[in-house]
Amino acid sequence: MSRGTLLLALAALGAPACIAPSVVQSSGRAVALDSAPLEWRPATPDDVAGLFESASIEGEAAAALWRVWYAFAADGTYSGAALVLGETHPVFQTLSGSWTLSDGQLDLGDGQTAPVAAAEDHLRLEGDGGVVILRRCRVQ
Amino acid sequence: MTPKLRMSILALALLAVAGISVAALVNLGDKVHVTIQSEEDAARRGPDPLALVAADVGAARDEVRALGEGLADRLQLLHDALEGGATERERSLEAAIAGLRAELAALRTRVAEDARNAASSRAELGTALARLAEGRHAGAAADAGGAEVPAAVVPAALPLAGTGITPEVEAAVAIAADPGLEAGPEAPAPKPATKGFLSFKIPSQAFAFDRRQRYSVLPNLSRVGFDARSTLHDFSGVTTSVEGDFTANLARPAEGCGGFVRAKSASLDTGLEARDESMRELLEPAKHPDLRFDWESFEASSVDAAAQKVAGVARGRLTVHGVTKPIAMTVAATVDASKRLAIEGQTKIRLSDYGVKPPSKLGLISVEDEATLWIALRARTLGPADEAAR
Repeated sequence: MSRGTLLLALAALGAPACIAPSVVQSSGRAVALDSAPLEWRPATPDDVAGLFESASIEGEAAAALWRVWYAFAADGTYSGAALVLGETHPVFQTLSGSWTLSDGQLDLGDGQTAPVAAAEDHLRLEGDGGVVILRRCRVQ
Repeated sequence: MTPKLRMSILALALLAVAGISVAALVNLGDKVHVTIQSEEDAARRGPDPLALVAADVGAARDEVRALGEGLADRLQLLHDALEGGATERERSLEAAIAGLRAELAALRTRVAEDARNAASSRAELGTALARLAEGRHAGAAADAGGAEVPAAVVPAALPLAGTGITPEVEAAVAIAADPGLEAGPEAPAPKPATKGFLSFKIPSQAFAFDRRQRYSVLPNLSRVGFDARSTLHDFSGVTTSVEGDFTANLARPAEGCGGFVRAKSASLDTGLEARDESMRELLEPAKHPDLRFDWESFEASSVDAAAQKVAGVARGRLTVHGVTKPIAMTVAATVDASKRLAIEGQTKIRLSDYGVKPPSKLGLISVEDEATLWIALRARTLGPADEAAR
């Protein structure tokens, strides 16, 4: 065995101590969904005004409601869009109207109110079919 | 008899026969004609009428046959048109029924809202009247020397004349004060429909555990990888470049399931660049870009429809490095809070089975031939599977 080979072999024998194992644990194979916990508080009109996109949708509604966007203007008007599962593929729905906030209830102008809470750059809206966490976004 | 007499009789008989023959020839001679005709004569006289009649009958038969065939074509066209019309009508009816269902759901929502408002109004009215009655009761009790009267009987015990409260309001208050009456003649409030959600209209029952549905793997939320053992240390290779589609009824996974999951072999990451390079040399992603599992059948070991969980063995064909082999993978699936299907599964494979020589450096650092292939997928339903495609 030449000197170079011997050195390589010795280096290889010592390498395990230098390189940490990199096996993915079976419990950690799935993509993690947990994000930093948010501290929710009653929303104010200033919290609501702005452009939001859904960060998560949970509940029965989530089966068909894939993504949601809301643009709440400070003048009390709003526009919304949602990617909704249609008969064979997802389709967009859009709507617009006026919004008001009173006693922690967001009224989107259709006679139904949704409890709304706010955290830093986030809103949480609750509906009959689930909960939507909205994340503030900016126009690109 | 003498010979002479016999001869005489015989002669008379011969004479009689001869006479009869002559008479017959005379009678039939002008009635029977025997003609021997040459071919030229036949051509000159024209075609045989019987042959002409036979030809005409044959032509007529052909025409009738052609007419029959034409009629059959027309009847088929008519049948097809009627079928098409029926299908169109069926579609129209389905669309109309879907519209009616949507209207019914909206109506139920409004009715539920009205019921809630009515209940709220009754409660407010009951509270107001109870306060009023309490005031009157307090006055009456003071007049009676402080004797207490149960509050519950006040509305019925005290006359409301002169208070400005109409009988209708009084009746409403009675209903509000009596929980039994509150739920009495009024129909139970319908379950809130999930059609309307934050002002959007979404289909109800988009996800059903016990229904054959199409699913699409979500690449950003899915991973495929392997775990390998080596003399140096164990490691995993992972990729999120995953895609796939499949069809399944989660409550009856053995029925009509199937699909595929595909990952880009060049995107596998072991966390060590030099090791990734060695792996790519072995997997040759330029020639064999995909790792692919074609799912063909499922043997369920447990199905819990209430908890929306299913487990079992998925069988199919695995293609690695361009080599395809049958495999069986243990799989468990459940439904997460966002109504996505979360699937995890794993199986053991031998690298050498797929033409991949386990890497070895200097004979000292070597990777074992056996590796664990695993999947951790999330998939979203695309709706019911087309039954006709089964």
